[in-house]
Amino acid sequence: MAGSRQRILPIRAFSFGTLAIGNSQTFTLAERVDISQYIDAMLAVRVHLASNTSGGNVQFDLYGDGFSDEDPGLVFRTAAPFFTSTALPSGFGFSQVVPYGGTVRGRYAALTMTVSRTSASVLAPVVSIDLILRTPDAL
Amino acid sequence: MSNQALVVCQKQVLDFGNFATGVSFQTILADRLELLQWREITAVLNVHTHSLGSGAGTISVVFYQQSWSEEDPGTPFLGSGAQTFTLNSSTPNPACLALALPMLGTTFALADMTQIRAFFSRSAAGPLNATISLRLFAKDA
Repeated sequence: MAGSRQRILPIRAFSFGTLAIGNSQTFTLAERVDISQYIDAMLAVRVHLASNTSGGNVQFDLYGDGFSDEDPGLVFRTAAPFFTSTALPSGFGFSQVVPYGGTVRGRYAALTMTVSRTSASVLAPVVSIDLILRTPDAL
Repeated sequence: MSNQALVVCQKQVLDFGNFATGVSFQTILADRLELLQWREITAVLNVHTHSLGSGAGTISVVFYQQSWSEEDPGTPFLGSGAQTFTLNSSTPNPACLALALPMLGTTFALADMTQIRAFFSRSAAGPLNATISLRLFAKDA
């Protein structure tokens, strides 16, 4: 048996009240996450009760991270995420887990968050994320 | 390669005979069932006997995606998707029902935890019960 659960994002309250309608923003939440021992990854994105995502779309993507100590100041990132992400449900006043995942390759992974503002409503997600990693037993 | 048979429910009777027509009800069979170590899981529901042949209603056993956090321990985190066994008038008596539970994917996958509930829905008068046992056969293949 070889499974691992990593708290890749502790509970965190975001607020995108100053993001203009029609705009989106992407930023990195975690990088150099060691995935070298695993072939399957699932993100368990927890939407906490205080969350309010009425004003737009929120999604989290897991990319390959090609960090190199030969050039540590550069960001090496795969062009596409390992798997298609699932957007968080829109609304407020509920809790939910949104699990999704796929096969992962390479040594490191990076987690990004992309937010798109679609209306003047509140866009303040409160989330925490576990990364579930699995691999078959060694022979 | 390793495997394990997880006994979720010993043989037990689900009896909803006292509920009126049109009523539905649910009960939790297992909560925060840990699945972290397994890449492949098959749920096997043994129906020892049931009374659904009369058409009184249906009984379902439903698997929900679940997560838990010590940062917010009082909040239940369930997913929007579910995998379901449905027992009705056409279910053999006895029966052995199998259901593959996806552990990886973007549409419905369980991640590392599940909650299992039993539902019933009554559509006509008559006995409404089933004697079941539920096991999960887990592999890390």
